[in-house]
Amino acid sequence: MRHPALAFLRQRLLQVIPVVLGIALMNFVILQLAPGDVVDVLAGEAGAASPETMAQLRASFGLDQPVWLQLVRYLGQLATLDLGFSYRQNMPVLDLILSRLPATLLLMALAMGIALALGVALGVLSAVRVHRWPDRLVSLVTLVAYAVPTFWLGLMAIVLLSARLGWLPSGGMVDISAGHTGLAWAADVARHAVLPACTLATFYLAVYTRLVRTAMLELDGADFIRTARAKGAGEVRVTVVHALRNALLPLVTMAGYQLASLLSGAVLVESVFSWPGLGRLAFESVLARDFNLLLGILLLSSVMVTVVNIFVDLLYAAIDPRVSVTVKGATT
Amino acid sequence: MSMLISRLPAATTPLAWWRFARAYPSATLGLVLMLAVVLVALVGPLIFPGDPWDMAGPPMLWPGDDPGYPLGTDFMGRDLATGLAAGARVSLLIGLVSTALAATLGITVGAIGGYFGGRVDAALMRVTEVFQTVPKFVLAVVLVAIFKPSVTTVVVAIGVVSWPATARLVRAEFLSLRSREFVLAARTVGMSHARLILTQILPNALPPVIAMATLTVATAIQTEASLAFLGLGDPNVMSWGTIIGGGREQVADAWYICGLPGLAIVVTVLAFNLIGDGINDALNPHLRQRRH
Repeated sequence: MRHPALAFLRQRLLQVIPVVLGIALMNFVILQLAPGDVVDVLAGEAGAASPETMAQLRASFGLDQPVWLQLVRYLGQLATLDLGFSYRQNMPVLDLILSRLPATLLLMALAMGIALALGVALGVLSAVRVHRWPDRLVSLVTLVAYAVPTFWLGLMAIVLLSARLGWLPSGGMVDISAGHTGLAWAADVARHAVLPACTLATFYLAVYTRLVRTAMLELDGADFIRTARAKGAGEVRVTVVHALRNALLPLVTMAGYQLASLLSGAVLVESVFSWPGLGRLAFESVLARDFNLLLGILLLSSVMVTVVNIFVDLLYAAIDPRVSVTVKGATT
Repeated sequence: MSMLISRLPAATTPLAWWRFARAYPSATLGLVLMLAVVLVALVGPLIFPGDPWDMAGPPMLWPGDDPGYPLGTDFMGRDLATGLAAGARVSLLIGLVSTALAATLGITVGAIGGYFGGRVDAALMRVTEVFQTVPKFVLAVVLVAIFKPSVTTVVVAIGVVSWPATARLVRAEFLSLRSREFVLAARTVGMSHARLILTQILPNALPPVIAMATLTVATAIQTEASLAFLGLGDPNVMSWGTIIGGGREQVADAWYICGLPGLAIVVTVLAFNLIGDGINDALNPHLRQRRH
């Protein structure tokens, strides 16, 4: 079973272990530096846990023992996926996080899809009409999209599209009172998802538009493009089949490595639109001062980023041989 | 960069300014916008004095309704003009200080890693990787929430999450510069590591770092606003994000309470982005030509 993909996966996993350990260590350091002792932080500030539970927690954490032993215990707990208990929500942290994860993943996937599709379209349009009015307009839009705070854009979208025009719901994921099932339920979720997904997509849309535009313009003078033109390929074919395909390569890399930032954006978008995902959970735990839950979200979302990054690398490695051939053809 | 800088001090006459504006239109727009924001931050609190938290007039006054409150009041009767002027100071201060912190951290890590290489570099890069993997805003939220919201914790949190990009950039510059002839010559003369890093390599690595720092200020201002919006701002400081967070419940009836500070954020962030892009463009004139 020495499949190259498996070997690659194993090598990548080995590289990821120190990063995951580092993330766990970071969480531990934050806990140690926090005001009050670890148990104060974990139980939440306003005494959400009873004194007996606090005493029990202190004993189980071994706060009388040296720091390194506490660290070993902490890592041991994490290794068994024990993220502790949320006394506010009265549920294990891991269960809470897993119950909110699908909503966030849906939101992120939708936003990423919108940003990629529109970003490629606008980037190509911009490059084809470079320095003419469509390009200038697109450049202006991306410039503003870079500067607009996500949460503010969401609020303004609610004002216009939801409060004034009444086209779309302003928050939540489904209309619970309607009691939809099956397809109607899916359509309802889609209706609720439009505003948050588009809001989250805006910034990345700007990033991908710029990226595709630059990549397309850089390819413009390449030999293989001239060859394609010389052999009589139409302008559309040259643009889409020859130039765009190569311009997509940096896009794959970029999109993969922006996952962490997309998760960050989801926190804000979800708190604006009451989307019941990880971000909303993070916001709720900030309001409730439920720090153990907050740290659990930080840890698990970071680990999720590393896992998805491995898959992006795998994807890239899978298309790499074909890719490297075309790139070589472009430069020689 | 050198072109941009060498032209700036020369641009003292109107004609020279005009030439500069023609050569770098977007950077000029950025400079103008930034001057406007700095002016508001400096002069604003003098024109609209008073505590931005005080109830100054009747609540929910729309902009233009009452000349005494040109930008209106919020649901608590707090004057929005006073709040916006105070917010400009907060945004610029937090943006600049946290960027300075991030740049210091990033330059230190990147310089040491790039200069010494080997195990030190590998270890530092692992640390950088950890900070790049963690969702930045989530980490900032965790830090500010656990260490209690204050200007200091917000600045430190933003600085702590913003340094990795600078570190990578500085490291790459150091890697390419450390075996150049002028560095080898200085080493032959017997310069210490610290002097080599600080007086020989760093000055040559700095221009792209300045461009990145300008862009980092823009991100830092956005992050500060986002934190304040979630209620994680310093409770004694009126920031643009605080105003938006306070007005979100009434946003359907009175959108201006959220709208105006948001526009202020857009203008400020846009200014820093334009200047940063301008510096980058000036640094890569050959890229500039190719685009034209």
